[in-house]
Amino acid sequence: MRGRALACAVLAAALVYCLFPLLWLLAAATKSPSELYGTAPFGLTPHAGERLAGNLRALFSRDGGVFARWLLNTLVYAGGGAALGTLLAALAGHALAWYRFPGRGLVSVLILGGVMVPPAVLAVPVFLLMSEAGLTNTMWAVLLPSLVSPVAVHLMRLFSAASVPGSLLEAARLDGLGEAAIFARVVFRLLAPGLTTVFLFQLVAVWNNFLLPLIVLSDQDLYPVTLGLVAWQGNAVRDAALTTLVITGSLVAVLPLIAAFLLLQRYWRADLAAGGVKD
Amino acid sequence: MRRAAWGFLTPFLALFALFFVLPLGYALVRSLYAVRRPGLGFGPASVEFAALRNYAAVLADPVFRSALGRIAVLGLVQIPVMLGLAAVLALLLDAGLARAVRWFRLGFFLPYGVPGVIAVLLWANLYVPQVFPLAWTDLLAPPYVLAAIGNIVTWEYVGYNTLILVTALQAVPRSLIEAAAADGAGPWRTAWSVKLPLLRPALVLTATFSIIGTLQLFSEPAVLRTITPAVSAGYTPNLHVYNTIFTDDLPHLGAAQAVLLAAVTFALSIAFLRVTRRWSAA
Amino acid sequence: MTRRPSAALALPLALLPFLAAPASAPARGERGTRPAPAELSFWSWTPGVREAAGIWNREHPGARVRVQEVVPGIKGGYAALRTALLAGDPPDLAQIEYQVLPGFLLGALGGGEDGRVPAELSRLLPPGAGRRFAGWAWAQVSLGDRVFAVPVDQGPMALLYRRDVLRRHRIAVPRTWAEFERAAAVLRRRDPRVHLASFDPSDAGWVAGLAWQAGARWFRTGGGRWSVTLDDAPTRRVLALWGRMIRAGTVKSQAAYTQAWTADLNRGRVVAWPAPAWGTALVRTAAPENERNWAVAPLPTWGTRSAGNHGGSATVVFARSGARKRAAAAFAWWLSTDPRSLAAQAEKAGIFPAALGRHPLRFGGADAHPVFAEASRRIDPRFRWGPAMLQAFSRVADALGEAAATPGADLAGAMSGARDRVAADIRAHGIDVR
Repeated sequence: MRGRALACAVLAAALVYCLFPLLWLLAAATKSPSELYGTAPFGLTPHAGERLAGNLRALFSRDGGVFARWLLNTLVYAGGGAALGTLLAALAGHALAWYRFPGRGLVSVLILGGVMVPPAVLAVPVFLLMSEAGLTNTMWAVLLPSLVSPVAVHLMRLFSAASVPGSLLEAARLDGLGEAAIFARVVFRLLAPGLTTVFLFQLVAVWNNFLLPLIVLSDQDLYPVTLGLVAWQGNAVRDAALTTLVITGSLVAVLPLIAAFLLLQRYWRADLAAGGVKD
Repeated sequence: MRRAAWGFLTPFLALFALFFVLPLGYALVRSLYAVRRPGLGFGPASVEFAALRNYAAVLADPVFRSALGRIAVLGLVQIPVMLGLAAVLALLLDAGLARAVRWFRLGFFLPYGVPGVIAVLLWANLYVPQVFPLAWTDLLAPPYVLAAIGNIVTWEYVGYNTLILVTALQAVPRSLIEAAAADGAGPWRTAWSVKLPLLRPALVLTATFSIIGTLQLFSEPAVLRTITPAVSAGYTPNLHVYNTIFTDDLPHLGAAQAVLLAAVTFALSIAFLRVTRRWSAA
Repeated sequence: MTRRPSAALALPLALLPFLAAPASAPARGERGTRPAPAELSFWSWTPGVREAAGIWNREHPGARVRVQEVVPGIKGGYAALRTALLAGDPPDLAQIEYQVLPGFLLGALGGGEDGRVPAELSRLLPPGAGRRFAGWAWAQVSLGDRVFAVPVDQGPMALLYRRDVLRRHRIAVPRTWAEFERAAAVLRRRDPRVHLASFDPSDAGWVAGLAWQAGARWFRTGGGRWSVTLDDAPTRRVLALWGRMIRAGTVKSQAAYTQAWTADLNRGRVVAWPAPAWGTALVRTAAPENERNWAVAPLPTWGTRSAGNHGGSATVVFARSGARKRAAAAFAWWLSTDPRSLAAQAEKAGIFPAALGRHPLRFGGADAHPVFAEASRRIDPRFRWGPAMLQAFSRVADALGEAAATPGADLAGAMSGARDRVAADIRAHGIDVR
């Protein structure tokens, strides 16, 4: 029993560590810039509701309502990039898992090597390439490179090898289905848990990529929310109101993602477990 | 069959060639050239072949070396702390000692969904005593800022790594655990001598990704730099590369730094996998 | 079960049509050539510039200016500008601080760099333009008789201090740096929670301003080469003073413009700041409740009448085509000289205009203009910046930061190391250095 108490205490402490910054964010979004100093960090002031409403109004009206635009951009970059990128990774992973062809080894090595290439190596050439194509300062400049994730291909290859029975592929071929049809009608559905996992993985990767948009975008109307908040933070020393807007904006930006996680994580876990039992 | 395989691969490979292979080659070529601006520099410039001069300059650059040293310290301390914590949490969750395991997992996992940039903006407030009294001093001042970054990275990824390890533990055959229980081993002992050894491959995998991630650290220091001058322009190698190219206007030197950084990453990852191969197979 | 995750993919896929929109949005599309009616893009981080542009736009509908508020220069604004220049898609106008202008002018006299370096403006500005500005500021934007930027504001330095705190401890406002050193020690004895001032080793521009006042010159040219003299005698004298005060614990070594620094000003833990004119706005932001307790006095002197400058910006033009370039230059001139523009910037950012004239600057319930105007007149116009100042500032900050954190606090000695690094950095640009 002592063991159980200790285990619970360790887990609870870890949970507090993981969650208190987010709780602080919630409380801080209900304060004015000067209340940020010297009030209880997690406490609510008497006019918390009013302040929160005021902060939200200020957030969405600043610079002609650019914050809403940033949210939408983020959805396009992270959502679109992750969805298409997952599809590309699924196709490539499937090919590497189930087909024998000359060059397969080379392709695998290339992809694994790609995992280790620091983004800064690629940044300038990618940027120059984009400017040659006239794509800098457009959404494509962020989206296209976001579609390529060697890690995602590697993961999809593992998932594909583990969760698609070879016998099923053979049977489909005997039924006269073409390779593309087999992927679309048979394999894709079996890969669903893997797709969710890789989708989440890519979503976070694009969402976290600060360097790429920093280099290829100069128009603030195209910024993802992360870049926009950093731009505000950079000016906060001359404009105290921005301190609160960055905090409120962080909260607003994080909430949908947390909601997505609450939703998707359940499927992810259940499906992975199912995949682990099979075989 | 072959045609189908290439058909599946082509969309990815085309973009991969465009955004990985081509840029890498371009960076390599570029690193061999340099700009010459005779006199005070305001007159005409020319691009000259510099052979390996840029590489020599990078190797002699104290900023590049101290950036590498800084992330070596960070990696040697932060990665073991984070993965150790993740392993403990995963084993505790798997032992079924606590109730509401699902909620714990979810709670640990949430910070992973917070983008690094926002994590930094958030923690930057918690490091200031005037805002958050638990900070005993200004934790964004020079002596603490590296640890401050380490803490942010740990906060972001500890739950994610815990989840990977939990998944790996679920793959442990139940028969092994039951056998241990039949031998009279309690949950602690089972965790230590049966489950932990089986976690080794997953630990090696997460450690490899953590090493690569640490070597490529960029957004955390880049964002902190807008908040505290304790993070210099060349604080981490990636930040140094970025600023050399885009702030200092030395693209050729920056290309050489980037290529060297890629080589270091490559060598370290391979070496780490080599060294741990025997350990993880045992 | 297996179908649910694909629903997660459906939403983002449905959003893809959005992608078509931005690519065809106006003011992007083909590089360089932009459709009429002209809308000039202007990157700036000075609060108030947007309001000023609003006034301009009402009166010049044919040459509207769109202001993009970028991250302040060294924090990312310059990197963004370099990136845009590399891509061949710079804004039509941009804010640049004096010290980085030479770095952006590399190759400017070589020709063939159109659109990659700031445009030469002398024929686009009214005749006698230079006489409208503080002489030292005009010298900073000129190469020989060519002009590459229009000065907007300047940062003549003075001493901002808490009138009430000094009075309470019966400390006279220091007139010389020796008095300043004594005042710091006395204040510390009378109230151990309070420091007279803080020293920011990471702000090389501020250190340069203090050294400038003492007669330093960090860069010289001669015989077609640069020479770097970051560690000349005046600089060493200034740093020796601050090193002594850090060792004695009478000033606090702390980075300015951070939250901790803001809170110290706000709560009266640091009660004086040798600051540029635009610092008045930062004090107002940091300590809105007790701004009326602040006052301004001339910077303590080294026995000469010389003053120093810290910061201040100019506007450069990158627009290429004739009409666009003319419109951009006209706006840059207006931004720097029109009283309404200057008033809007002064109100929000506390700027001290580079244009000569009376520009009221309220601080601590009084007009701070006379003190700063007097300082501006005494700034040594011979002080010039080098060609790679962003790197140089990093080098100085690294050297001073390390020295300030080591027990001896040998700030003056650290500058010699920084000098050699800065010379090597300039050489790395392919430029000749002695």
